[in-house]
Amino acid sequence: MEAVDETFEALYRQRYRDVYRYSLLMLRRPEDADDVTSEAFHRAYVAWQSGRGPSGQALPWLLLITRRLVIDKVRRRRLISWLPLGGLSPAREPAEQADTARTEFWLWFDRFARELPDRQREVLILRYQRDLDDEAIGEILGLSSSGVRSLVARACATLRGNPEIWR
Amino acid sequence: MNTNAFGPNNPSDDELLAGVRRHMTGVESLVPLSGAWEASGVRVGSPVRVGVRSRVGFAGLVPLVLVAALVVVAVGYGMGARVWTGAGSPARTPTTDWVTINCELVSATGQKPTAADVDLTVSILMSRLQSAGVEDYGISAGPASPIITVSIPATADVDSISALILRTGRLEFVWLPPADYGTADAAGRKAVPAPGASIDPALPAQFAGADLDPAKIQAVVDTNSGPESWKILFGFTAAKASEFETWSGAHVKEYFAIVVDGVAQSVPYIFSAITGGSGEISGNYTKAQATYLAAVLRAGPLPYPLVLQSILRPGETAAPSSPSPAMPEVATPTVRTPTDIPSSGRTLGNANAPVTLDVYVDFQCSACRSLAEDTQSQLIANYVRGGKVKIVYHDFVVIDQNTGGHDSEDAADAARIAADQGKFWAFSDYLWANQQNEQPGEFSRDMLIEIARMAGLDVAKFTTDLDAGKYLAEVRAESAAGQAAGITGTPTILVNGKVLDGSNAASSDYYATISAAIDRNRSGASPSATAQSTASAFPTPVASPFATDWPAASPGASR
Repeated sequence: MEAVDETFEALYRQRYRDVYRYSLLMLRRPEDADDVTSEAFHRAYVAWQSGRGPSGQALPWLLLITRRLVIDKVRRRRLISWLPLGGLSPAREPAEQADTARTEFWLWFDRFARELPDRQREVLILRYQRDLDDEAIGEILGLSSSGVRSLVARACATLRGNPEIWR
Repeated sequence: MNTNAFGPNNPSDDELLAGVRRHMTGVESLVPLSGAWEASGVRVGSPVRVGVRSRVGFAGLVPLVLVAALVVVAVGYGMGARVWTGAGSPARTPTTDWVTINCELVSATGQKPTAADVDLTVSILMSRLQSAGVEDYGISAGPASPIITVSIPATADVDSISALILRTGRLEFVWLPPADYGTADAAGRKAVPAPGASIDPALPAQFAGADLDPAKIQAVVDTNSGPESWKILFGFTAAKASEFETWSGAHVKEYFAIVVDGVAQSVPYIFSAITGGSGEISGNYTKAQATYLAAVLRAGPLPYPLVLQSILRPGETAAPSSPSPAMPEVATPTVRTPTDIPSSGRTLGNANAPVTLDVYVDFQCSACRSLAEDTQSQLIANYVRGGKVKIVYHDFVVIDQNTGGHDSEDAADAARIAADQGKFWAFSDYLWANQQNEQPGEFSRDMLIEIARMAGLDVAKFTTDLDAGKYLAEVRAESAAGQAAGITGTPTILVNGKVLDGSNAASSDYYATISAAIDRNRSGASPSATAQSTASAFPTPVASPFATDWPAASPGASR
């Protein structure tokens, strides 16, 4: 396992799903998530080769790169379509969402996205990643650990008023 | 004062976050197994040394599994530019040579398999693949999703490997009581089952796969039957070996069957007490069969059966694909009944709603489909969601009489079975979407089972109920009662028990007609006037089948 861990390809294979999942939840379109994920790994690789790899853990570093691309994408998408983040749901597109479980997920996510403000939503998406601690999440969001905790607390307050999201 | 501050109405932050996490795991089936390495724009073959060490990932499962599986890939291909495409990636087509096998873990009880079950299954599959000598593979599963995806090179023996994966692998030694099956010396009332036959599941197993020592299971050439014939050697664990010796000593000349997943592999009789605890299964196997069966037996049985969903070969996308050509194509509904509205059986909406719409439908009827897909969405948005109206479906099977088929009846039966599982609305969404101009066979057994699978039902239970025709009698009775009450066609709608005129005609503005009737009922206007003027086509008053909602509860709006 050691040999695998030591290469960028291994990191790519190991973290591909994490980066893709984050992009998909933020952008909610598989095409966009594909683009952003590829671009994020490309940038990460270029940085890595020139010696600007992660100083600590790799995942927060990757997600920080990804996040900039996500924001960029959202901005461009806004200009194009005048739709707010989350205005499009793959569930309503004639995509491959052939099974109910997926549709049910998007229906739930629609509601989740509707009720929670952007930053509260994002902190919960990052928290879903079990191996990111508050400090790592803060690194990605540009907050201190206590800032992350208070954002989570606010998200919980929102959730408490919307039982259908967490029940 | 309150010692239990965190009750169900006052959840703790942890409960809230756990709830969100539970829902969020639904995303796992949308995340591809892995991306195309080349597509990332990274040139392959440039190993860069870094000090990153892997940590156990979310839920611990996926990264571990991926990493473990990838070691194998890496061993097979080094840093080669293998493109590894997962099933969930709609944007890409596999460019080279991997086949992905998607299967679902289905628990017998209909409960969702736990993450631990998925975890166990994945580790058993890995052990089977390794043990069978399959070197290149990848396995992926979400932390809480029962969908498991196995990727293997297209050059591999895909059929044998998928059989290897899909086998439950439950090995049993079943004694065939001499009272029924006789002995080696005297035939019994029943024929001794031949290898390949199903064994009566009522017969208890004396010993099972868990009693064997995995290290002693191996596939070897069966020299007695020629070089092309293979057999499997096995040995009991030390503790079970003596038990087996005692048991076999007590049953000399009697038959027993060595059974895998309910099918006899070999049916020997006991020549004398079997000492040493070892034996063989001489099932006249081919090399591949013996090797793979031995691998399955070594790895032990899966916690639940795996059901094949699809096999994607190179060039095929992850679009809904059928495992075999015999599988019917099921269209996905474009309109779905919202799942956030209370529903119970065939009733949608607030059980105490002041207005009840009784809707009589035939699932083959195209006008019912447009009612369900168009008008009903408006009704749901404007009335049902607010708790003012509830919709209750009833069966009125008519089209079978015209076509000579039994599709309407079967579909109605199936929908009621789905209602047992709390999925009536999801299931009927699929039925509407899969109408085929009243063709006999449009709701064949295969079709209904496939729909059940897509609608998320417990397929095993559904199939049993469907094959038993569980609700056919009720469907017929309800249709007959409707007919007796003067219903002549579908759809027919009753608003608080009163037949709504025009509701079985191809009315151009169906919604307007229905909503006007609802509003009359809610505003307390005399419903009898409505009934008088509109029910001309039906001999009113409508009798017994609607008695539950009779008389029309006009002041009920204030309830």
